[in-house]
Amino acid sequence: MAGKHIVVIGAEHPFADRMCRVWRDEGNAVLAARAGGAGNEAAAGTDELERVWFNPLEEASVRAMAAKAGETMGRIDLAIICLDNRKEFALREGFDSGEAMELYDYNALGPLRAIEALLPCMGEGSKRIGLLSDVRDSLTEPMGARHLGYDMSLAARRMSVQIMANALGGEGYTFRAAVLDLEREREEPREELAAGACRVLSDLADQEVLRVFRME
Amino acid sequence: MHTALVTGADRGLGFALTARLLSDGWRVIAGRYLEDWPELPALAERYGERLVIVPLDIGSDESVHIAAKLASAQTNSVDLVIHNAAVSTPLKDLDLRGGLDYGDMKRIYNINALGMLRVTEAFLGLTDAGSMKRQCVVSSEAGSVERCERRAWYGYCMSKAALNMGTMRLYEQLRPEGYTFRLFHPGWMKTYMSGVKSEEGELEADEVAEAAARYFVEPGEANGRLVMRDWSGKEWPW
Repeated sequence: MAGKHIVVIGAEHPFADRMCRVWRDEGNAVLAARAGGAGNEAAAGTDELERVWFNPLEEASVRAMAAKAGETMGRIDLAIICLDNRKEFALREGFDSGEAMELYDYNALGPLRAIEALLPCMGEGSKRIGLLSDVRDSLTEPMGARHLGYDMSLAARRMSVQIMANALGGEGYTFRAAVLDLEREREEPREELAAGACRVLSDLADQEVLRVFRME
Repeated sequence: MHTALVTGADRGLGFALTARLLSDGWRVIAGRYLEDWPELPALAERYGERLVIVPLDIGSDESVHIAAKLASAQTNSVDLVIHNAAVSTPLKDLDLRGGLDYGDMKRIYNINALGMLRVTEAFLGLTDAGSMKRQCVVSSEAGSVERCERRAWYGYCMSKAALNMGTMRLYEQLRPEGYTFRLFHPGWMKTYMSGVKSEEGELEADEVAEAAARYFVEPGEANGRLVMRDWSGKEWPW
């Protein structure tokens, strides 16, 4: 794939950063939208990726990010979401409802804020929305209860993607989710897996409204 | 005599379950959210000390902890918890094109998803001492990702999907300690969830409560795995 305009939301995650570079090297225009605050700019290093910083919890900041994407790229073909904030806590070990709410706000509502803000720039593009999610979003596989709040936020996000697909599929939007061990890939992102995730998220020949891929 | 805790016991399904358990000889700690709703006090006149009414807002850490303390002053153990309290919203038809209300979505999540966890944790001391160790969660088909055909209702559906996930993870954690779980979809009921009783719906709370109470108190685990069942006994996918 080449010549597409791609925004990667949550590109501060090392795995998403790898994906940005894969797409850029293929000849696409990539905007790396990195979640963070003032002072984090230095962490971006010196690279040639176009980037913008934003706060997924604040609607104004998300709208500013989307405005920058519109100015930079004109149309957007692919919006890729990789917002991933995790904390460990379980019942009997100090469950904190405030922290659980923060995880929902970031992991589940953050993507909705971003898509809502980017939609006006996507109508003339390829209309692909992609999501990187973690293996812990599975309700059928036992995962243990140590990430209670995180897992719940992922289930909520999975539901939001289904509703978005129902709502926007009729307008030609297609949705892809790549499910992988995001914690492992944060430590040591694998080039081959990043390339594989890029392939499934950007395969525009496949126009099925929603597909979910488990990446190993 | 067995003891149950019912959240959202003021009216609707919570009230019907409270009345049902009392008539079956249970002692019920009824979580009351609405101070001026008259049905619970009327029930107390009939059942006396077998009905313990405690103020309970499952969206508030403080309220839940106070309710657990009040309950502890009345009983040494709780055998069965029915997590029934939930809210809907008049903003459920908002969509991405029109703009979502994220504050309202957080309000719903705080009650529908996190409320169950608050109550479970605060009452663990009592349920650990109970003979049944049964956690019953009133969820909804709206939490089934596989069956979701809605084009809006983001906040409500997301809260129920998260509730199902939370129940699954608690099942994993507490089952080895002897806890059993019931996850229940009540069907399309005439509820008060939007504040006033909706006449849209196929089922009255009393009908659903009869089926739910049977399901909630029957022994054992369904096939050794957690499933969501509706009022007719049908299993729903995740």
